[in-house]
Order: sequence, then C-alpha cells, then structure tokens
Amino acid sequence: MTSRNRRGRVAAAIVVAGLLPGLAACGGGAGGSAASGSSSGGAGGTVTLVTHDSWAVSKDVLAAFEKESGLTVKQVPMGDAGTLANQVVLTKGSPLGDVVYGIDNTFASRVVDAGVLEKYTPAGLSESAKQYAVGDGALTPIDVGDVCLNTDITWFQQHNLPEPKTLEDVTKPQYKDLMVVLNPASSSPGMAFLLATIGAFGDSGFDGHGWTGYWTALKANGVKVSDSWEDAYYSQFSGARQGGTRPIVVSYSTSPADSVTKDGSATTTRALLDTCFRQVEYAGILKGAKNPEGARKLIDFLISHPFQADIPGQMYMYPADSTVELPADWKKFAPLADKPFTVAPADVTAHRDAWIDTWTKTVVG
Amino acid sequence: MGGLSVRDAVVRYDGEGGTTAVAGVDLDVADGEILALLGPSGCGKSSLLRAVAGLEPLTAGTIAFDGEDLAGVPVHRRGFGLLFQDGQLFAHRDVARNVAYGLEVARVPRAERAARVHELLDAVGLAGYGARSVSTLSGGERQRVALARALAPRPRLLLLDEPFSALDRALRERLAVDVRDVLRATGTTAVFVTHDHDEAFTVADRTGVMQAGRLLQVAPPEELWRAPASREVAQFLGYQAFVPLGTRAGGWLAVGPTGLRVLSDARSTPQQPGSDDSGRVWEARVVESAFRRGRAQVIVVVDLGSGDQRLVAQVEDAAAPAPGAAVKVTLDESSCAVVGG
Amino acid sequence: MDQDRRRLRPSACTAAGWAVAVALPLLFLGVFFAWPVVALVGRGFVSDAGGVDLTGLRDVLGSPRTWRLVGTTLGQAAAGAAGSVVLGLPVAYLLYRTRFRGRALARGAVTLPFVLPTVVVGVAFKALFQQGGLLGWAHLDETFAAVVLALVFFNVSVVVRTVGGLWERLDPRAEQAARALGASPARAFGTVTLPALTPAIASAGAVVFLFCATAFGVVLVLGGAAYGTVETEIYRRTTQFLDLRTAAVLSILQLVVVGGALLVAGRARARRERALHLETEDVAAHRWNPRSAADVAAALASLVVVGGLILTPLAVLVLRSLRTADGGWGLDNYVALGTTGGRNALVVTVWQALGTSLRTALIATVIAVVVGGLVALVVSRRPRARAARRAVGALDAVVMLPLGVSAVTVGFGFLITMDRPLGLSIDLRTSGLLVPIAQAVVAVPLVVRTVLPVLRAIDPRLREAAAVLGAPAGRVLRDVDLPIGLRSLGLAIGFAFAVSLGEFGATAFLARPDSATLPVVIFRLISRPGAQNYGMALAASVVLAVVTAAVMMVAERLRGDRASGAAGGEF
Repeated sequence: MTSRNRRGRVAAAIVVAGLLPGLAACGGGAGGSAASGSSSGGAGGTVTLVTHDSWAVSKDVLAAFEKESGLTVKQVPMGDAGTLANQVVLTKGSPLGDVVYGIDNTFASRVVDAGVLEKYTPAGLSESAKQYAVGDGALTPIDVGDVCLNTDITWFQQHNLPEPKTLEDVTKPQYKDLMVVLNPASSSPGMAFLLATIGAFGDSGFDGHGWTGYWTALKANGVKVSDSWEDAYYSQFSGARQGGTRPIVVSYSTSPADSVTKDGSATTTRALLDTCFRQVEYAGILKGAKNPEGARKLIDFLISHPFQADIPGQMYMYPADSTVELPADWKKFAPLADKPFTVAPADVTAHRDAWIDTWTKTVVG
Repeated sequence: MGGLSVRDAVVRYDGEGGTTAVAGVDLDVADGEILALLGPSGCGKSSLLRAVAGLEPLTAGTIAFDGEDLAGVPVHRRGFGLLFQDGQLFAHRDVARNVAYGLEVARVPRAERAARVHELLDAVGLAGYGARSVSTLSGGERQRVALARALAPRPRLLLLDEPFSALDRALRERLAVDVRDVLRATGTTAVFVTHDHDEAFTVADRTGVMQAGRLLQVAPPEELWRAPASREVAQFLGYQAFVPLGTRAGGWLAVGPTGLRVLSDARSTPQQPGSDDSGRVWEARVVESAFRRGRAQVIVVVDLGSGDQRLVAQVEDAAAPAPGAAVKVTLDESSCAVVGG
Repeated sequence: MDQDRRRLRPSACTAAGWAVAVALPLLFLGVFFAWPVVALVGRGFVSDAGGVDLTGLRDVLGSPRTWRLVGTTLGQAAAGAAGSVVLGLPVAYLLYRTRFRGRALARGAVTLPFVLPTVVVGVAFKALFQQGGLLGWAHLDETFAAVVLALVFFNVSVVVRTVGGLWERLDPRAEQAARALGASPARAFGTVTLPALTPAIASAGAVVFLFCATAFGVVLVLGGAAYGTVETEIYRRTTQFLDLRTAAVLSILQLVVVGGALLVAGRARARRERALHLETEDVAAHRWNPRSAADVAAALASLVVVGGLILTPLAVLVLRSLRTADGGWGLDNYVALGTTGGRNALVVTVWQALGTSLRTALIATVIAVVVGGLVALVVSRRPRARAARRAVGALDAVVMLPLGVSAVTVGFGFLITMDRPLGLSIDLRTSGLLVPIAQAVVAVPLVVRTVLPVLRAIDPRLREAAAVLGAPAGRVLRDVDLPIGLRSLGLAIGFAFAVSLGEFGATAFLARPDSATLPVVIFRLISRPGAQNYGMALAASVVLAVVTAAVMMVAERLRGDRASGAAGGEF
C-alpha cells in the first residue's frame, strides 16, 4: 500500500518537475524573440536565415563572420527546396526571417513573381555567378551543381557492356531494365532531370517525338521510378553497394567522389556529363525583414571567399564563384558539365505543374 | 428544533421525459432517532436520501438540520455520513486509511485519528483488520468497514442507502442487528433506506412508507401495522385483501397476511353470519395447499365483496384440505386493520 | 466566520475550476490545431481577388484522379483495419486470456511498433522488400500489399490492447454455459464470445481505419511513385505545387472520411464502456495449455504475427546497421554516431540530436499530459444537463481529430497563423517552441484514450463517498481521481513521450533553429550521399527504436497494478 502511494507521489513529482522546464522554455522562447526584435534596428543584432534542410556551414567560418560583423546568425531550416520555396511564398507579408537561402532555379521564378523578395545585388558578385542571375537582383546565385545520370562502372565491366553516354543511349534495348529515375513531383533532382530532358528535346527533338516521346521510350525500356533520391541511390542503384541491382541512376555530378576506391586512385561510379541539368541555388532578402542591414551583410558573406570555399565540403555543391579552389578529388572525379541542358526559369514557373502532370500521365500512368 | 427537517421536498430529473422522483415530501427525524424509509424500488426513497446528503439538488422545498437551512451547503460541509449499498471503499487505501479518511479531511491529529479508527474497527467487529487491503475482504466485511468509515467523523446524521441488499440473507439479518446496536451505542441519528420490511423494523424506531415519490405514512412499526394510514400503505405492508366496511365514512377492513382462517368442519359455523365482518363467513374453494413455518396454509379462491381473489388462509387443523375442496373462511380480527378511504 | 464562509456557495469555486479545465484544452487545441487548419483550408477557398471561390470543389470532385485517390485511401484503410483485426485477435487471446512465462515481454514487443517512428519503420520495411532483401523474392516493393503490411505492423497493437483489455475481463462462464448446452468450441466462440467482444473490435477497427486512412510517412516511403492517397496528395499539392485550392478540397474529403471513422469509433467505444461495468473484475486467465487446440492455434498465429511481422523487419534493421562499409560486420556505424557524418552531413552529432529529441519530447509530454489529462477529466464526467452531456461527448470526439488531419496542413497552417498568435507580438514560427507544441497536439488524443477509460471506470459514488466524508471537490479529485488516474498516467506519459520522440510529419515542416530532432537527423542522413551516412542512418534508427522501447517499458512499469479494473491505452 505505502509503496504504491509513494509511486503515486513520485509520478506527481515527475509531472511537476516536468512542468517547470516546460514553463521556463516558454519564457525563454518568448524572451529570445523579443530580444531579437528590439536589437535588430541597430548595427549587429540577430539576422535570421531561413534555409532548406541541406544547409550546412563550418562552425569556424560562420563564427568568423559573426565576430567580424557583430551579427548573430539564427539558422532556421524549413524542409526541402520545394517546401522552402512555397513556405516563403505563403508567408508573404510576415516573413519567417531576414534572408532565404536555398531557392533553386526550378522555383526561382515562382518566388520572384510572388514579390516576396527585396532587390539587392552585392558589390562583390563574381563574374561566373552573374550568368545565373535571375529576377533583376532579387536572387543572388550562391552555388551550382549538376544532376546527371550516374553509372556503376564495375557493373558494366562485369557484364561486358559498354556504358551509355547520352540521354538517347539509355533508350536502347541493351539497357533495358537497368535505369532508375526520380519522381519530379516529389524529388528536386527528379525535377532537374526532367528539365534536362525537356531542355534536350523540347517538343520536337528525339526524332520529332519531343520530351514526352523520350519518356515513353524510357518507360518501354523498363525504367523504374523512385519517389526519393535516397531510395533510388541506396536501395536501387547497384553502385551504392547496398543491395541495389540497377547500374544507371539519376544522381549528382558530385556522387562519383563518394565511391572513390580505398587507395584514392579511381572511382567505381561515373557521372555522364552529357546528360546533365544545372541546378543553381540562390539567396535573397525577404521583404519585411526585421534586420535589412544584417540581411545585406549576410548575403555579402554568402558570396565571400571563405563561405564559397566551404560549400563543396558542407553542401556537396560547387561554389558559384569559379575562381574558388575545389577539393582535389572533385577536380579529379567530379567535374561540372561543360554544356548542361538549360530551361529558362520563367518557362519552368509557367509550365512546371503541367509538365509534372504530363510526365505523371506518361510514365506513371 | 433538533434533527432533520424536510419540507415539501421535490427532486426532479431532467433526463428522458423529466421524471419526478420525490414529489413533495415532509419528514422529521429527531435527534438520536433511527428512521427507515421503506418502499419498492423506484419509489424515490434513494433520491430523497441523496437530496438530504446534498448529492441531488432540490427542485423545490427545504431541507434543514438543527434549524439551519442546508440549501447552498455543499455535500462536504453538511457533516453527514453516507453508507452505500456496495460500500464504495477506496481500493487504493488499506482498511485503516479508509476508516481514517473523514478524519484526515477534517485534520484530526494523527494520534487521535489512530485511536478513533481502532475504536470503530472494534465496534464493527473488525479489530486487527487495519492493515488489510480492502480487496481481500468479504462482502460483509466491506460493509462493516464502510460503516466504520461513515461513523468515524461522528456524523450529525448517518444516511444508509440499502446497505445490506448486496449480501446474502443470513448475513443481512445479522448485520442489521449489528448496525442497530452500533447506532444505538453511538447515539447516532440515522435515515435508513430499504425495501425489506424485516430490515426496517429491526433497525428503525420509526418507519416511513414511500410510494411514487410520496411519503404515505411515518410511524413506529407496531403502529404502522396496527393502523396503516391508507390502502396503499396496507397493501405495501402485505395486507392481502380489502373488504369494504360499508359504513358511512367508507373505508375498508384490510386483511393481513394471516388474517384469513379456514373454519374447521368440526367446529363449523360457531357464529351466524352477521353485520360485523369479523364474524362473517365466506364460501371458498381450495386451489393449493402448503406447509410453511410449521403451519398448514391453503390458497383459496374467495369473493370477499370485490370479485374472486386468490388469498392465503391459515388452517388450524393438522391436515390441510386438499385442492378442490370447498371450505368456509372467516377473518381473524387480530390480523386485520381498518383503513380509511 | 465559518458560518459566513459556508454561505458563500463554494460551488462557484468548483465551477470556476471546471471552467478552467474545459477552457485550457479548448484554447490549446483551438489555437494550435483548429485555427491553423481552418486558416489554411480557408485560403484554398479564397480567390486571388479575395472573394469566396468554390470552383475548386467542382474541379477537384469532378476529377477521376480524386476518386482514384479516395478509392486507394479507403481500400488501404479497410485492408489495414481488417488485417489488424484478423491478426490481432489470436494475439489478444494469447496475451490476455492465457498465462505463460514471458507474457509481459511479449506484450511489450506487440506495443513497440505502434510507437516506433515512421522513418525507422520505412527504412526497415524497405530493406526487407527491396530486391536482394529477405522478402525481395515476393516482389512486394512499392505495392499495395507492402503498404498494408506495414500499416498492420503499426496498428496490430491497437487491436491487441483494446480487444485484450475487454477479453481479459470477460466472464468465461458465458462461454462455458454455451459449451454445456452442446455448442462446439468454435460455435461457442462465434455465438457468445465474439458478440461480446464486438464493441471492442469495432472501436479498435475504426481507429485503425482512421490511422491507415491518414498514414503518411510509411505510404510515402513504401508506396512508390505510382501510389497515392488523399493524404500524400495533400502533401504533394501543398509542398510542391502550393496548390492550396486542391489541397483544401482534399482536406475536406479527408475530414469526411475521418469524421465517419470517429463516429463509428465513438459509438462502439460508448457501447464497450457501458459493457465494461458488467464484468467481474478478477477473472483469471488460464495457464497456457499445450493440449488445448485454441491455445496452440493462438500461439502459432501469434508467433507468425510477432515473429514474422513485428520482429523480422526490426531484426533486419539491426543486422544491416552492423554492416561496415567494406562489407564486413562491426560497430563502425555506431561509433560514427559521435561524428557529424561523412563530409559533415549533419550540423550536430546523432547523440546531440538525441538530446534535443529527449528535451523536446519532455516538453511535449508535459503539455500533452496536462491538456490530455484535463480533457479526460472533463469527458469522464456525466453532467446533469443534457446540453452539457452533449458538449462533453463532442469534446470526446473532437479531441481525436489531430490524429486524422494531415500534418502538412497543420504545419503550413502554423506558418500563416503563428506569426502573431492571438495578436501577441511573438513570432512563434521560428521560436522552436512550435515543435513540442505540434508533437503535443498529436500526443493529446493518445493521452486521453489512455486515461479516460480508467477515470470512467470510477464509480461516481466513490467520489460521493469522499464528499460526504467531508472532502471538498478539489480534495475528491486529489484523493479519488488522482490516485486511480495516476496508474494510467504512467502509460499515458510513455505514449506521449514515445510519440513525441518519433514524430516526423509535423516536425519536418517546422523550423528547428536550435538543432534537429533524431527522426529529422535520420531522414537527413539517408538523404545525403555517402555509404557512411546511410550506415549511420540505420544505426541511429536502431538507437531511436531502443530508446522508444525503453521509454515504453518504464511506462508499463509505472502503470502499477490493474485493480481498478480498467486497462490503459484502449481506443
């Protein structure tokens, strides 16, 4: 009896003890944001960076910026690239922060058109970055990357089959049932690869069949569709050595740098550089930012040399500033494509939903 | 005036159809008195008890104790005790802490509390049971603990709601006697709800008969038997037939359970039928015979003035007449009562 | 003095107390659930010009695709519910009607899947079904069957607990009487026991139907590109297309389905709770008998369910987490949990993320237990006035809604409402506090369903007995409701904590300024290239599963004895 009663008291104590930090956290949360509001007007203060989940930066690089600028950077990851873009549009008039990073060129126009960004062109923007500029300065290019078909070199050697080189190659019968692609409705590299085919064939390429004809051919050739890159790469692609069986996959041009052999002399997978679409990731200042001064400083930081040099190691992308030195194995195993396929951002925004619908009808049925 | 005083009490439930459980009851219970409320189930006796306890709101009327109106006094401030049919012990407390509960709430010092618990467990015959878990107790023991728990804070009034109905017959009778003794010994004022006549007459000083939300009569047991206030009361008490008196004031002679007698052949018709009903003789036909409590009884069909009825009649001879036999029956005055119209 | 106080109708105080008990949960659910959802769905019905635009209804309801999605959703939910009931019944019999060594452990194993994070389950089942996996030969990957199997994995425990809770207190003499009258065991079961269990089966089935109809993570991971339900379509339409018009119509369709399931569940539950009062409290289960055909059959069926359906995916997960990068075996992946992953895939180590998860879950649990406890307390009462009784019944149903509304809708709804909640100038969206709040919203229904049956089983006269003995309303709560309710509170805390630990849907759509929770980190690890990251994701999943299991085991112990005659965690 007494022990049961004591147990009751202990449980009650746990509840009460649990309440205290909860309440303290409430107070802390409110206090924190109040403080950021009051100090944001002056020099320094807090600047809030809204990003996608893949955002990463070395601690020391960020710390150096914070020290030099007197700013505190609050990082707020908000989901994948698509979710981020749509959230930024949805919160028009009451932004989630001061700066958004991670809007890619497939969503750029939607965000620019929604009028949620403040125009700002940083003075130090590199020549190589300027070619990607969109929205008349509303978005600043930060980093780029290519989405390409990747092949499992070892698999093709073992099966005595020549590796494909082009988009057309993979529709050939000898590559039947060997390829995994991504659903553009749910995957951002999937969307990028769809755009590669649209950029390559348009409505009349591929012997007049256009990009839809190309996908019909792919389907006939036994292409498999995954909902996410991680599933395609790790569960389906033989090159990941995780039990997958298909040797051709939609992935990044950087992926071969991850399958380098132990001695570092070679890689077991290859990105087909004639099949690529270039993704560009942008940053912009949100309209209604509480700390516009800090926001401009943050954009300046994102295009600065220390941050640009930090990008490959942290985010698997290439710095938009081509003068920045790349890691050695990237130079060796993961170069960018010379002539990636392109689609104008405005076209993407105008047709995005229709293209995905058409793709879905063509491939998924 | 001391004790409980109920005036024009009405309890109405606004559930389906909006039934009236208590329809204007007046009741007084003197200090130290034990009153039983007797009635069939659904007659409103429990509702009246719950209203006195403060568990049901009064739709109309007043309830006062020691002259103080109890309207607005919540249950826990009334200083009453309540004993439920099934005890309702706190399963998470042992026997002693169940009994001590009311004392804990009243902030009685620990030592005094322990002494009182000891005293009461003793009084209900459960000395030494203090540390037992209530789940180990039998039904009778649980009711004893519940009684001790209700008495511990020395309630001004103890309310007992069919406290023995969940127990078997032998236990019920023994416990009824025990409860009466404890209540007498502690001088507790009590209202006791039951549907069992024997229980009511065993425990109570006075008994109130309730029917359909109304209190028909309140009286000591023998008075109740001798002079039921109405036909309904008499009927509920077990009077089996009613013979019109034929007087100007109207009224009936109520025939008690043992109020009808078969005239034996040997001493047939000692009296001539007359105007006095007690001397009247009726023709009857035996339909069943039985032997109960050492006496022969028959069930006869007889017309006492309001059509054929099946009634129980006592037989004085050792051998009861066989079914089908035609007999003569007469009334036994000492087992009959006159009731008004 | 005392006389004066006595005149001051203390019921005013009691009434104020109840008002707070009703208002606090309503305010919480209103602000953090109803308002965001209504705001977002409302936007779908507002045209660009600002007027009401109902063309979306016509367009979406007129599209064959919509009805295909509804068909898949209902089919998936029906199959999931039916599978859970069919597989759950023999397990319920074995675990609640027979006694054997290791029964407590088996009960724990059955409960585990229900609280496992969807991310972990997705990874485990994927590993099982894909080519080269243990069940790769069955070619179930990305099929309806795979999704349904995983849903049954999650929900079979709901059936086992709910039906078992009733079954264990079912008087065996009714069935014995039928046998004595000449009924075969099967006939006695079918004509006596099964009808008696029907309310429990119906309420568990309806709740499982609800869970299956709105399942998100598992469907997304296992269903593949061609597979779509109303829930995943709401997600796609909202996050990828910002097509709020379509999403709003689909949300309303979903609400209709969910409302129907809740109605059925509520009715069945009411019947069951009434039935519970008829039971004897201490019907002992019989010792498992190897010569009884029923016992042996139940044991075999349970072995298939527990061993095949529940333990196999988990074993595969554990085994794969022990594979090293070079194809050997070892603890490399676990050692790596102290790092931030290959090429800094993470901002924090997995252990730090676990710390964040535990902290967040603690706050969420406190909120959920306070809010859910108050709701359970209010709903457990039967007020005198009919209108009040209706209101209490409505609260009982409404509080289940968070289980049936898309996490995306809630998450995006937060974005457009929490910048100035209730007009206060606190931007909650980026404060980090929304994460535990969102988790608490999902955990509240589980707390209510765990605590409520126990409080409802308290005879109201027990409270009256305390009141007559001099205890004021507050004291009655403390001395009667609390000690009895506390027994279920341990389990409620466990459920709330485990659900918060594993919550991914809503958490994924909210800002996490401090650092990510463990499920988010796992998702991030499998989304980043590098074999090391994938291995870490598997190891982190195992860690999350172990922590969750440990929490549930502690919770089951906190639950205390079952003398009150009511089992916790029933639907």
